[in-house]
Amino acid sequence: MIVGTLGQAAIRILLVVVCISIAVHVAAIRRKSATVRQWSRWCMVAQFAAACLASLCLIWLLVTENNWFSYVAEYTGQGLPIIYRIAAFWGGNAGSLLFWCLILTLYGAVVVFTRHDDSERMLPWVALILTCITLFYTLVINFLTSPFQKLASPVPLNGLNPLLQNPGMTVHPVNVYLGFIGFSVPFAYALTTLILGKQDATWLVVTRRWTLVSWLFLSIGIVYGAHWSYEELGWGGYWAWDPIENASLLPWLTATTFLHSAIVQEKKGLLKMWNVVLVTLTFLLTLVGTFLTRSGVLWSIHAFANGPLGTYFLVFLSVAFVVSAAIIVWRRRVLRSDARIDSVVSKESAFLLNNVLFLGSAFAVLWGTVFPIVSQAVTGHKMMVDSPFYNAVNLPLAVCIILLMGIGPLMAWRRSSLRSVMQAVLYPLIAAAVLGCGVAVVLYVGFHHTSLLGTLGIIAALFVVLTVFMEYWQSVNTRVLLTKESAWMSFVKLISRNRRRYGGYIVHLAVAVIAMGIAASGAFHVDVQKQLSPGDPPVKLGDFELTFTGMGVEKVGTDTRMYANIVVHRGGNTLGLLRPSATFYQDGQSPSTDVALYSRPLQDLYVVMLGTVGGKSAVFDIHVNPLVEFIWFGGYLFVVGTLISLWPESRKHRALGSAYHPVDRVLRQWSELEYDYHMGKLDQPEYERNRAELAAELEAAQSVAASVHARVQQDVQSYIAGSLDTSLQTGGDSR
Amino acid sequence: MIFRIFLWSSLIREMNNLTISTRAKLVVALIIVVSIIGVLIETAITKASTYYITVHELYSEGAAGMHHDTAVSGDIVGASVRWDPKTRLLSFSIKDDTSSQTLLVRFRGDKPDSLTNNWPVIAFGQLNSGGQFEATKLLVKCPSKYSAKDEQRTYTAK
Repeated sequence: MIVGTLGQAAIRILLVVVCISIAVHVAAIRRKSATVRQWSRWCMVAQFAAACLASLCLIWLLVTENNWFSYVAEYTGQGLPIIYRIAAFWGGNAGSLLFWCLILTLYGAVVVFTRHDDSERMLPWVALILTCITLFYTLVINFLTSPFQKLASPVPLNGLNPLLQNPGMTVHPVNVYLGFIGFSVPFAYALTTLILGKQDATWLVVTRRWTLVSWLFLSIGIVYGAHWSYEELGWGGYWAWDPIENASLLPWLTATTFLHSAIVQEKKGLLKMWNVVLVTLTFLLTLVGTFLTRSGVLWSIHAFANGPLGTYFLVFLSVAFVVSAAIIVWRRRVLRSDARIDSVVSKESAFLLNNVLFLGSAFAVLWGTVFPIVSQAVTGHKMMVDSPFYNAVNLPLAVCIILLMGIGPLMAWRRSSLRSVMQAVLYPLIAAAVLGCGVAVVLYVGFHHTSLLGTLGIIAALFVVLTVFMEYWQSVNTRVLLTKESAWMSFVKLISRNRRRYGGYIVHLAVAVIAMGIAASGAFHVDVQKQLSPGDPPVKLGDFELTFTGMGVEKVGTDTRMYANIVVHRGGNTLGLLRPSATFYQDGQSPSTDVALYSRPLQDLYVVMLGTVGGKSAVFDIHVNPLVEFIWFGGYLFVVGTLISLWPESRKHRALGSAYHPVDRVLRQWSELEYDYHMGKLDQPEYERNRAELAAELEAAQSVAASVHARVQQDVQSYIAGSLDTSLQTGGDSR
Repeated sequence: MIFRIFLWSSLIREMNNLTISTRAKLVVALIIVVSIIGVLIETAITKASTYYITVHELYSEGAAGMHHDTAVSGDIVGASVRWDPKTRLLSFSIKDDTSSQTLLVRFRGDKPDSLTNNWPVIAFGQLNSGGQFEATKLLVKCPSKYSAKDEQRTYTAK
């Protein structure tokens, strides 16, 4: 009981600390004193401590199944394994909002102790913005849905839905939340940059890791969620385009766009405004996603009026939107580009095209998701769209994005020509087309389906695989030529010296592998539904033969499980026994089906028992999904690639990377140019032209740097002279 | 002859001077891409959108509401769910939260795992003259108290 009171007290304390923090951050911004700034840092730690205390109390209540509290009664049940009792912390509404506070304050406490260029000026603002976001969630858990709501008398525990008693429950939501919340940090930095009128890309460099980590978490959350739904829900697929799935995909799409366009700003000083808009959009979309899941507005318009939480989220979303839009408009002049795009055929414009395609896809998903609300408001009819709409728009866009993913890395920065791009692209594209058609023919023979879009998807994915291998191959060769190292040594050093580039290529490879899995399983899968009795001839699907041999019943705890025995053969060999089953629950919850899976890298046999007839025969839903495992393999590769890209670079490289001097930037562009030239992305005249332009830019930058240096020196001299004068006048005691 | 060559070459030189700037070319290219995406969304949405009504709205249409494709949304009446695996025929009633009217839905296909009482569903199909709704597709939200993981699934008649 005392724990509950303590928890309730902790969320009250959190609110107080948050309010005090806001005052301290404002003071730190106004007073410019190191002591106040230190206070502002410790305020963030205090917020985290309060959130931590509240979270520990809630976990304690859940683990001990204290049924005096409505949250505990709603989300736990008798005999629920401890891991799911802990998972109930982020499972329910009120608890997940507390979890949100916990992670946000943790991120805040970590970020304020980082040191970087101009951190003393930026961090109080960053802390203020993060605290304002925390304030919203703190108000909600204090006054709207407290997880520590105590009941007048203890109530029986409700139990947890069996579909959710799956390890996925402990992994998937946490990852999505970690990702969602993480985007607050780059957002706070972007706004700070604008407010302070900083033109440089410090915020991008500082938040690159935050963005990448959040993006990684969100990606893991999405892929894991798809895997979970594939294995658990028994409808044979992994992605249904439902609003909740879309809610997690939307910020992922804009974050992916941002990751790419951030490279253009870092390398060339272009797209500054665009990047701020993208990161703001990503943050707002995480709020939209949370709003959609919490308000119930999408399923039924009526639910909106019922849930005050939805209204609160909508108000917060509007405030966040108006404030950030106002700041962007107010400071638009700060964000003028340093340069312009030199040529239509260049890596810069490939990045632009990538942005447009990603945003187009994000817009389509958003439009489809909010379509019921919009159509209700505009026409009075509730209209909705489902998978056919999303597939019709997003699949062609995805094929274009994947093709571009292969072409983009082959293009040179600044100025390339159609001819050299064609030269680089032609052979891998022809090879991919031949291979892809071959794969499509094999799939046709096995599954008797044809699909233009599916085949194009496979061709595009193979094209990316080939270009990534070529890129690695050429880089290693060039390095071997230049350094005379062994090929293996070159390979290792290549990756470790330029983790961002080569980690990024591995991510591209992973996405291509995932795309192949989606294209093949989406376009070429086969399924059949059949009622079978013992003694029936085997069912043939793909190259599998399934023979039903009978039913059985077993007790699982207090519940009853009914299973079917199906012997699987392929090409005369017996592969084994599959046991699809249905569980009937003692407590009267509707029965659930358990999928039986025979997974092999190239195809999955997926069997669900839909129902039984007279205790002897049963109805089965049988699917054969080609290459679906590629999606999960790709997911692992994706994590590896992102981690390589994230791994801190050696001190020497970091020092170079963090400097944002114009001369450095030109020098870095020069090294890119040399790289592109050595990799054969530019021919001799293009290379010479680009080099001449860079030489001129370098000279200009150096002369500017020299004059700035001279002026600074002069100012410092006169300042020292001036202060010497004053100190002489005051008798030197100020020293 | 020489004059003509001079004329041509100067014309070409003029053309070169007149070439549109990189910026304009990029803007045009991006506008084309954006409009293609726009057209893609527009066609897909007109082809794939359905509008749905409540049970009460369906009844108030009277005979006009019969024999054409409609989508009806309502909450499942738990006690009414019947499923015959042999014929793979599923039937259940749905009701509105604004009126007490119920509608009997018949659907031939997979039985969703999650036909619990009061759970929202959208049925796509036609109202027959017997007052029953012959559904060809069901859209059911998966039961989950975990608000973080509400799923909806489509079941299509086969």
